[in-house]
Amino acid sequence: MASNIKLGRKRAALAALLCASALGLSPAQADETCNSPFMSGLIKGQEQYLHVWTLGEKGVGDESDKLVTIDVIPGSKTYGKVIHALSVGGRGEAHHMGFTDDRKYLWAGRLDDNKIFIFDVGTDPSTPKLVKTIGDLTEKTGYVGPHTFYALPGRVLVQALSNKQDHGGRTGLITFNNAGESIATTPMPLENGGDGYGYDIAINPAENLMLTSSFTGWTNYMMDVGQLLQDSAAMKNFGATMVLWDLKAMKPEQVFSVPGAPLEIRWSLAPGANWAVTATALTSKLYLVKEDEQQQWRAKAVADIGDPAAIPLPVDISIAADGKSLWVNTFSDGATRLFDLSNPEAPKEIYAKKIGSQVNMVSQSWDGKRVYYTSSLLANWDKKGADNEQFLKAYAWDGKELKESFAIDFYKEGLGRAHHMKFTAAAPKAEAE
Amino acid sequence: MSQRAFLAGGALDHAAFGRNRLNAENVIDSKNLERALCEKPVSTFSHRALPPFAHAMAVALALFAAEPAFAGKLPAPGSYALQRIQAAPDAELLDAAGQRLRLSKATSGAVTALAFFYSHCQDPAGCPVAWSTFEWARKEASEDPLLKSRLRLVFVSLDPERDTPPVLKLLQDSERSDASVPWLFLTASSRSALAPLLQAMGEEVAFDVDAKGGKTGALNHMLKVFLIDPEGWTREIYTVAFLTPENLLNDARTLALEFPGADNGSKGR
Repeated sequence: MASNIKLGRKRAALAALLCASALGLSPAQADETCNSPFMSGLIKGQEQYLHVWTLGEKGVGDESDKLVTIDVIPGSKTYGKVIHALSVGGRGEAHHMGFTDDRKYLWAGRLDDNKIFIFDVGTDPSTPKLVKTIGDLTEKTGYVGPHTFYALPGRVLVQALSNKQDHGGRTGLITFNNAGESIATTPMPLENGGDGYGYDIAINPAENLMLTSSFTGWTNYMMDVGQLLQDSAAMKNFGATMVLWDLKAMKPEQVFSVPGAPLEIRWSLAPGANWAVTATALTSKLYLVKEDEQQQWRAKAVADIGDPAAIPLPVDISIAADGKSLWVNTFSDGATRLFDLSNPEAPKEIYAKKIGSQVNMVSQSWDGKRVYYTSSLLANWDKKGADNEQFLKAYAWDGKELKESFAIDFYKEGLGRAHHMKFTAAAPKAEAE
Repeated sequence: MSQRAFLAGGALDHAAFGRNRLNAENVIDSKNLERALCEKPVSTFSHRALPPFAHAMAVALALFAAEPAFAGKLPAPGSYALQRIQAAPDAELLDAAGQRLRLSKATSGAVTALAFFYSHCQDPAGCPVAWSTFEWARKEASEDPLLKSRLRLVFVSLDPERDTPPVLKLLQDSERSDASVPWLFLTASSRSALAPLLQAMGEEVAFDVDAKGGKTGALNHMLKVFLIDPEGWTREIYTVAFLTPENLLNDARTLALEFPGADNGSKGR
């Protein structure tokens, strides 16, 4: 009886509520498949603007690193054109970017001078504004090379690549609050097989798990690639591990041996799936990170990417929203390759296309119908002479063929080397408080 | 996430909800999901009898009935440290009796879980999730020697115009009054009085509008729950991607161990 009375009171209270349609705030109308799970406003559909974090180059335009914005709204008069370029001053090895959880701000890092630039892309994504520069990362944390920017609720988790002591690969994670204040540092593990290296971050919040990968330190990523390849001692200084973390505790749980510099990590977004993939740059393999039948997490090589003997140098990857396919770029041959991931234990290459003389980053829309590519890897690793093409290329994917929608020559436009991309869209017309 | 996975036997399956990584389920299919929930018969009511407002009730009650679960393995309480994200801002608010109350007074001294809500909210991935999470957490915490005198729950309305103190009293009275863990319902005197608090806590709110630009009555916002320590620091911010009673209580126990002197005032009641 008591419970009935209680339920009746609850119903009475709730019956006082009026009907309203609450759809959740959706400041953006489109997105990629590689963003933090803590980000708000991810809706499939047509992205409107594409931002490219671009390395300045001597003799090209104003020679400064810049955030370049391209209109990608079909039918727009400026579709496929650069509509905004915001120079930040100097050249510091512009590299990757990431949104805050509220999707209003875009953080962009430089691997050489360690500066982090925070752009307001929420107010008007067609014209980003620089609102803050963090210039004391290394002084405050000892870490060098802010690489990955990953949204946590109210915070941004930054994976560094190096350290100020020896400029090698031992490094750590830095947690900032959204105001840009450093609130915690976490060294990459050296115990239980850990090499202390870092590169990417990928979080599975429902499992309280975080994965990190490993690349190399400042000495290597700032070295001319021709010189690096001849330096056998330097070539030993690449990451060979992935780490599975207890996210809540920010403690390493397991270290996996993944030789050959595992780079970008993508958790499957498919319902019920509980696995992630990565690609190794130097050994040209796809690795699957998954629980085995004994509920032990394992990382295992599941496919070759191209001919590993030819060192195709896999770089960025992009997973489909349904987890059934994966774009893999190989820098050396400028190709993009589509792998069928229907069985993640045995991915199969089902399509390949040469995008340019070199290709690095790839971003696909949520529906997979649009795929964007940029060219630059690192200033000193890009190809030389005529092979040093610098571009953004957009393609339509119909399930069988990539068809070019537009291309922008970043040298002809006086911009520089095109690196990381992020999508935005204007906020829906709603009366903000 | 499929709607089938979301609705396990007519009740929200917390284990399935938000299980996959990208926080996309609740936004990608939000309209479809809501439609599906409204169209599916929920055990508490017959579909035919449902007036529009009862859909929110049905969803809320389905949530109340769901046994929440967290798929991941959590570290033991006290074995980890929660980061000090930001100082919780202060504001002058009104309680359910219409009395003025500083938010800092409602949060200081105890381990506080704070959520923004509004009573007209019908988004099944929004306020009802916070409500059900708080109900489960309150029930468990009230029987937990570590938490029953240290945890406090606070709901702050996003909608001061409609959520007046009498409305808050109705809501507050709908919750059991014999629980050790107090649950305060607060509102503001006006939207402008509330705005600085929302901005400082990163809680963006906008009026939902229809195709003609008219307000629908809904307030678009993202579900967030803030865990605040007795000294006023925000130590965790939960989104729908990982908001469960287990997660919330695990962190609350960690803060209770860090602040053994925390006091929610229940001892004096």
